[in-house]
Amino acid sequence: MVTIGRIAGIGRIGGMPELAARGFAVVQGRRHRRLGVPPLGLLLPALAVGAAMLLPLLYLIIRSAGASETAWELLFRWRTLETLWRTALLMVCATALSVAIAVPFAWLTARSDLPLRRAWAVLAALPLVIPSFVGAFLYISALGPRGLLQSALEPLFGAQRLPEIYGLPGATLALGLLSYPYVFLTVRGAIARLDPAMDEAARGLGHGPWSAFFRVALPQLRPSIAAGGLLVALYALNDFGAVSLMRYETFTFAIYQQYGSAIDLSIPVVLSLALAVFAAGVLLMERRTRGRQRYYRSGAGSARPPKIIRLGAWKWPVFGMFAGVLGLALALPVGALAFWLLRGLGAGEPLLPLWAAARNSLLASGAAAAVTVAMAAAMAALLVRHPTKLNRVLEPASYTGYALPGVVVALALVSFGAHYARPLYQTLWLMIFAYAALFFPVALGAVRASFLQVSPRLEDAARGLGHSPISVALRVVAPLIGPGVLTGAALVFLLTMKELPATLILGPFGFKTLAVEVWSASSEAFFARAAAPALLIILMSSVPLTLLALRERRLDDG
Amino acid sequence: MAKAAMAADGRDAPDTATPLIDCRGVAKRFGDVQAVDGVSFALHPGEVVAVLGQSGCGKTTLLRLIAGFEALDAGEISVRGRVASSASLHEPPERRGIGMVFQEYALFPHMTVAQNAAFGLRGVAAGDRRRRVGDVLALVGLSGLEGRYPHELSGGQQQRAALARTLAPSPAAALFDEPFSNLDPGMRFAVRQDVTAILRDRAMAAIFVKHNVGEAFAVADRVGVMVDGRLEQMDAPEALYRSPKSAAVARLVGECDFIEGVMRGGGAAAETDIGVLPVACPAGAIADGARALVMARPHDFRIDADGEGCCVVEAHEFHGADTRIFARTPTGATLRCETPGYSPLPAGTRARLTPTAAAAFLAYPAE
Repeated sequence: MVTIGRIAGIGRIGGMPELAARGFAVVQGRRHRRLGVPPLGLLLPALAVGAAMLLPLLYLIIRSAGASETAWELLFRWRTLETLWRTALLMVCATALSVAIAVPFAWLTARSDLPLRRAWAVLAALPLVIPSFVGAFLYISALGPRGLLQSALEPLFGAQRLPEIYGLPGATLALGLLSYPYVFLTVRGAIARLDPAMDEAARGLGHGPWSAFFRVALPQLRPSIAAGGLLVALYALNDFGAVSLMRYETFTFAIYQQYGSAIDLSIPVVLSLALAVFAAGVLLMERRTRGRQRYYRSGAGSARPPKIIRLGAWKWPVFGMFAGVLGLALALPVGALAFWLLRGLGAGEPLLPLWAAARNSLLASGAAAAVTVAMAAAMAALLVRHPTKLNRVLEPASYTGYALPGVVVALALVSFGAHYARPLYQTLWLMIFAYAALFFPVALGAVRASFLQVSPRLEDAARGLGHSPISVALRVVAPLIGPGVLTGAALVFLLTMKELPATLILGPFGFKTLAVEVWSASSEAFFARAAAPALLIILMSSVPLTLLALRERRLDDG
Repeated sequence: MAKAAMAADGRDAPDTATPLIDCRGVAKRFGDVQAVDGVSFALHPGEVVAVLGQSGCGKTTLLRLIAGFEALDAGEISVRGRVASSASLHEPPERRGIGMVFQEYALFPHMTVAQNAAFGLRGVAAGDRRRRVGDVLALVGLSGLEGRYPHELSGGQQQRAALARTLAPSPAAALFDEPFSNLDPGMRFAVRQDVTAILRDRAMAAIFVKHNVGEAFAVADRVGVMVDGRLEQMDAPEALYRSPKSAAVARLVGECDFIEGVMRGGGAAAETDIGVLPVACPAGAIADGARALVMARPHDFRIDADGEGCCVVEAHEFHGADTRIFARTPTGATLRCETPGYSPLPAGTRARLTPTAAAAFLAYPAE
């Protein structure tokens, strides 16, 4: 399970892989720094990918430069600042909630005698497959006015009203509950790499288990918490579906509204650029606070298993906490979906139109996964094997996807397509390109991590045995980076499956994916109709995630 | 122009058959580090050469330049008389027909032993390939383990598999980068014996890169010493040990100490604080009266307790077959003296040093 944290790349944006990619010897043993000019066969594809990744951002900047004055005036209006404030507030609340859930979860599943802790460790990652808009729609349908909870409570207590779910509380709940696995997985990975001897050293110096955790373990986990928290923060910043359903007007929501209504298209473009700048600011801030993360890397994990904390009387309360959180994050959404589905079927809701949407989702996600990992492989080969000064441009270019919300990328590409790439406009190609731009960093992280594990000596050996570079790539490198490529593909598949704004904006006319089906049904409050496609999304995204988890288990055992 | 002249010189030189590998003025720089600096030497058919040096001296880079994994900055490398590397030309490694065995073996983890061994046999018919893989695995003693994956082999077996993989395509020469350094001492000796036997048996030329002097002397016909990217000296092992051309080489090819002295007797002796010692000057004659560094090896002196002696014992170490005594000279230099068996002298004992009959002191010009 640990290495889904090989979401890899995710947890390690700029950790060891980056150092190694810059030519520092990270792996023990000799690793020659190879400077000089990389072969064109590596350089050109990577440059093309880097340029493609920068395209949305550059286009936004160019378009903003030519934006109307009204657009700029709008940007500095009081209302825009309010939107910004709401966005930041949601980001902080959702991140705080997810960290508060994830860190104890990670520590307790790794190091305590919690009953069923292995099962919890697997289950705790699963909320990742529930799209935020599906989650939001279910929390509304279950906890909102006239929802399941209220109708269940009404005959008993005569409850007419529940606490308001719309707005910040609902958005925080949906985003925090569904995105905490990002923190959970990165922190789990870091815990696995902690040296148990550190804990023993602290205990030997007279610190109890709590003191040892807070003073020794937690400081070492801080970088991984920050890296996971960053992902949640960006997720909250970029989220479109949940905030719309929760009627909490953030930047993405405002941009989409402006795009839908405005005659002046430069207004959403300027807003998008502002959001991108804000996201870049968040990224930079995390980079600053990350400080000297690399020094926290402990030596090769000790063979001794770590001490297990006895929970004693706390065992069952902790168990209850796990059950409660996962009940809300996993059981409630799935259960409610099943409930609405059965209800809809009972009312004669037809299932048939779903086949087309399911096929479209599969096609889009599969193509996005294939294209993105292919691009990531080209980039990783250059970054890992031929670190040059070009990396200073290619690295940040690779990570723009993190800073650009789906709405923003989609908007840039729509505008670009309409002006300069007419033949691509309103085609599947442009949409898949948008997915690639959005999820490239995730795929790159996974592919690069596996690339770093392939010793360059293997490539030398194969060349020395008479194989051409292409033969070496196919017969030695490809099989060895295979697992990383699969991880990256699975993650991109899963993320594309859930993606909404780019799909809504860039989808060719009449091209409906499952996500679009859920969205149109849920925004019209046809809960019963939304249930079937939502369940299908969850089911289809669970498949790659489960496969990854199973493969990892096998690797852990082997 | 210069290059052509150099090549012509090489060809015109008498009594040299075309070398298998010929390096002429090879240089390579990484950033600010001059990793290899004007190295020239030739490897002849059937010859085994070892290159010694401390880590970071450029010996591995030299090997990688020869194999074609790195492009050189200046100079030329010819393989079987054809230029393979020059400042303007770089033949890719797969076309050089040179095999390399890596320090960490670099066995392909996703292939079995047999698949690894067959990897270099491109364009060989399937039946022929099977036979050659069988032969080469039998040669290294891995028959029966064809289906194993590298992680299922012991360290010594991995080393043999790597050797088999390199030998299978019958390369013109084999390069070994610290091939035995990952093996434990017992295994190391056995594998080294087998490897050298196989090389001799096949009359295959080889270059070993090593930092262990004893091993280099044991396997090689000629041993080269690299210091800071330069090939300081290349000679037969005993010649290298007897007359290292510089103090740096002397330090690398055997335990030794240096004491300061002044040249006397027409360059045949040096006056030091422990007496006048007969010296040879392998780096070239040194004028009388000039200051010199005199090299002594641990077996060059006999040490005896003597209240009148000019040296003081600092410490001793018992090594089993002999005891090493550290003696401080009047000017504060420390000399190691090897005495047979267990023959300690307590620290603080006054002692006298006498050159042994076989002593061969060497003098180098002092800086």
